[in-house]
Amino acid sequence: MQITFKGKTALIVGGTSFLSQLLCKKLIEEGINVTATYRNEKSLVGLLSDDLLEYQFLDLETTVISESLVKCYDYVIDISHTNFEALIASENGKSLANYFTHNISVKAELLSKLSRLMIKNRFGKFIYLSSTSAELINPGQAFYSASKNACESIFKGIGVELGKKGITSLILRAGYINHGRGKDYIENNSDLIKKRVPTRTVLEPEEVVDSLMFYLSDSAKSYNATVVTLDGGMTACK
Amino acid sequence: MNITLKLYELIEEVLDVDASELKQEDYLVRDLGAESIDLLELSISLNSEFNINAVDNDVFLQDLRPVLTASDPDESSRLKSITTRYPHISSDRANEILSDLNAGPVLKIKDIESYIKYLR
Repeated sequence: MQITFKGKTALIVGGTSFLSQLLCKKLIEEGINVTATYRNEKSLVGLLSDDLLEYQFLDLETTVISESLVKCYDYVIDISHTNFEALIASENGKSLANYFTHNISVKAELLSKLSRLMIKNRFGKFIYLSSTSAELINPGQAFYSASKNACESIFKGIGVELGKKGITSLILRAGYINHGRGKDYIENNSDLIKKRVPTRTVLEPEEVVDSLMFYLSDSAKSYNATVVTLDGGMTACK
Repeated sequence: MNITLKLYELIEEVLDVDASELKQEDYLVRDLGAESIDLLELSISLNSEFNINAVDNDVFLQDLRPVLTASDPDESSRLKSITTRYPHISSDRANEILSDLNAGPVLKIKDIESYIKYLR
């Protein structure tokens, strides 16, 4: 099966993570020009460099989106999400308002502008990398889950509203990914996790990126406004 | 630039209709079957082709009914509420709109043309 890509430009929101960098590399290999966002200068150290790749600052403190980011991309992939572990009733000194601004309001503004620009081309794909936490939560994950669900609804809405204009969307809910903060959790809870997952495995970042690439490809054009869960069957279990 | 002809071209593109058969009196929704997403696309085209900053609510009369609901019920107040909220709509047109409300969405091609001319 040959995977092809009609689009030539991509924006990766949250472009400095390990997973995002893998995705940048795969997209560049397909000849796609990539813009990857970053939220602070320190995160730029040691990142991938290529003629087809540029980094743009996304200020999460304001819903006024920088003009340099507002362009017509063919693909928009949102991989960013800051964690927020806190019990609902706790007094933890963290700002709920800031958290929801960073992870919902700013994204909503950005998606509104980007989707509007795509309409003229009558082509585009939005993908949101969500989490199984949008469906199943442990104590302390309610706010994180709430913001994931909010973003999922926006992405779904894009596909519902703009599908007839050739713009589609997909939400990829990933289970445990063996990298970053997921890796630490997996190492400390290995037996528990493997019991919960029917395949007895966790996701490798490359697997997630391969899935993203498939859902961006021309072969996946009819996946729209839907959630695909990549979790080894975990959320299917009682 | 002939605004009317250009507008017809844009409508043809967005709604997949024949520009040569369009008339100023055509209703965008009732006659041409425009949906909200089509109006959104049209708004984007208007902005780039006519170099204006069209506001979707204004050009497509999208809050007409809430405006009328909020107005005093007498004819004169209702008329005034339309022409105040939508300064590109003439009194004659506002009268037409008031008598046409019950038949469905009132937006006509001529309203969009009026808006373009108002902004330019």
